[in-house]
Amino acid sequence: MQRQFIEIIVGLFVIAGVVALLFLSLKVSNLNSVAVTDPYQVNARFDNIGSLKVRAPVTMAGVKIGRVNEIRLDSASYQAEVVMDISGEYKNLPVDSSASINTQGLLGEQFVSLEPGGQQEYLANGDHIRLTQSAVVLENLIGELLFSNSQGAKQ
Amino acid sequence: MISVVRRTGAVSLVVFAATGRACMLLMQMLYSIPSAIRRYGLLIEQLYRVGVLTLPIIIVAALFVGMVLALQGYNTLVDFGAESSLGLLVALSLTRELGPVLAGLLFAGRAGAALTAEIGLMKATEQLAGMEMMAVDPVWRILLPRFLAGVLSVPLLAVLFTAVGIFGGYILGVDVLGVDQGVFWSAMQQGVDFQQDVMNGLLKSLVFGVLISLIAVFMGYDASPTPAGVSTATTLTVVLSSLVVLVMDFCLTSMMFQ
Amino acid sequence: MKPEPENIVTLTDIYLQRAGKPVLTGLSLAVPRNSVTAVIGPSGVGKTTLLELIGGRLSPDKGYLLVDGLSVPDLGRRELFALRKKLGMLFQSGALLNDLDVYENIAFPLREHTALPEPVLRQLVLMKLELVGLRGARRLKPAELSGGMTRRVALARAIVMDPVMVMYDEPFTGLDPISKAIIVKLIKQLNTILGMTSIVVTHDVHEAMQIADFVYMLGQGKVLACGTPDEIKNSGREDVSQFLQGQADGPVPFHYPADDYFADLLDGSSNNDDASKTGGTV
Repeated sequence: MQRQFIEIIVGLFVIAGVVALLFLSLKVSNLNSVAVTDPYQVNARFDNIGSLKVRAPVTMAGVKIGRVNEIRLDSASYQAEVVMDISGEYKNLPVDSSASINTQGLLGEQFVSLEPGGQQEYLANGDHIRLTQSAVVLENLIGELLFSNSQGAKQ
Repeated sequence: MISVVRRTGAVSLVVFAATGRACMLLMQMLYSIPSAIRRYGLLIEQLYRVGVLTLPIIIVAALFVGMVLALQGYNTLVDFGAESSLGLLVALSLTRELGPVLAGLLFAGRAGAALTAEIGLMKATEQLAGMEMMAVDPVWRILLPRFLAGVLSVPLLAVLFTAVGIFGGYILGVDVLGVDQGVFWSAMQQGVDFQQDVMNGLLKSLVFGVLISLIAVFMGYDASPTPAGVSTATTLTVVLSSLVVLVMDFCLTSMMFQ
Repeated sequence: MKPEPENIVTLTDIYLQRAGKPVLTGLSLAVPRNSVTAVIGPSGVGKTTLLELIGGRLSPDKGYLLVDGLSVPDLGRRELFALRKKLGMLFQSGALLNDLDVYENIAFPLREHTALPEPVLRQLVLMKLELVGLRGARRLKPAELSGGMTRRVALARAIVMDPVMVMYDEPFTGLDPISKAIIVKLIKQLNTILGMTSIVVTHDVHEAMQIADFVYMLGQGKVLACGTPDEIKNSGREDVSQFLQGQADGPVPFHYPADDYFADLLDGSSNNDDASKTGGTV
């Protein structure tokens, strides 16, 4: 009887631990949103990717449709090549869509945002997005601001 | 001057010899696992005494640690207008560091000390020798279940610590300090990576579990069979386990979070 | 040295050092089967060490040791444990497992080594308890037992597997006269009833002489005298008679080795004894 009680309590202890782990995995971390279902790969080249990281989200109209798989330097064009996994749910992205690197909030993480084009042909595995806009580098922006301010002041 | 060097040498020899014996004990215990599998009842009993009985202190501590994190975090973040990241701050601190480390320290103090005292006392009252003379090897009958119970309990306790801590942080952050509930969780979910943070924290706690349990069990088994010997061993377990946890935490963190 | 089948334990020329100090220096003795053999001698002479040797917990530096035909120091772990199942040992403190009650303590070896069904196990335990007169105390915990009762329970546990030999480490020490008489009676009775051999290590000469068939007296790491109780009593040796008669001074001196008395008293200048200078102790 004593033995039964102990076994039950230990069982509860282990279950509680597993539940806590599930809680951490699903509610606390990004486990849910990490895996991309049935992905196909698309890549794009940027002059500057800023602080874009692997596993950063790829969005369209603000909705996450995939994630960045790999970032490498294309030694032919000296541009950054970003390989993205797009979820198989979204097979109808026009071939002339454009990709830009935006920032979440003012100081947040950077992500790739896709704008749909107009063509009827759709992106397939291995395709290239040609229209790209590089990340905004904050220091350059501030430099521009100061520069244009001083120009304005001169006038 | 020479005597300092000599003493250092003498102490080092003692430490090395003890470490060697501890590793041999570990090998002995692991070697006897196959024959001890069928006595899993012993393991369950120890999981209760070592794991479940440490649970209350873990929960209370975690609750307060989570709340303090939220409080201090809020005070600092609000100066940068970044209080929306409070959930993220609390979660990352707990999953990566505070969960495994504090659970390890609390476990060492509560369960590790108890194990060393119990085993040391059994040695001092000749219960271990008696068992040997009855042809029952105390290594698998007494030491192994306690060791395994510790190895399994520490990760469970660490995960529970983290979860309860986050909950405590949530209570204070959202209900008391007024951080928006949705933002609390969403910032957290975006910033906490399952593999990098949760899994690494779990791995850390597993390493801690192995080390603390080995220290506790070895110190008891190796203790001098006198009251003074047992008391020294118990103190040493707590001190050594705590230091090992903190040092290993640094090593593991530098390996995992580059 | 060929093993004689009528001796269950044979030690030949055993040398053993512990912590750098020689404990046994050329000890030889033989324990006849089915006898009660007492090993007596002053404290610290190595009697308990002898039991540890026989039980395989220590290895001799030199010499031969045979138990039931097996050379104990050469046994592998498994064989040593197999041998121990045939032996019983009664520790001075009883060495009962504190978490278990009397019944479970006695049942422990049976549970660990046999797969006996519960009813059979119960009968065995109760029978042994009846032999030592504690069947009614079976649900008590070790903490609730008196010294004498603890030893009786330990004795029951030592014989529960029907061993061929039981070793008793100071079984009479620290008991009141009644308990002592009980233990004396039990050792002799059980030896006869169960057809075992008993080795009793003790410094309680009177009790030992009452029940022993054979006595070994140890001193200076060897056997000083051996024989039946009568032979020992009539041995002419001074050290033996000092021990047997309990004389305060004799071959074993009263004074611990020290320098000349008068020189020590008159030696005021060295002042090594001045505690206030050295800071004293606890």
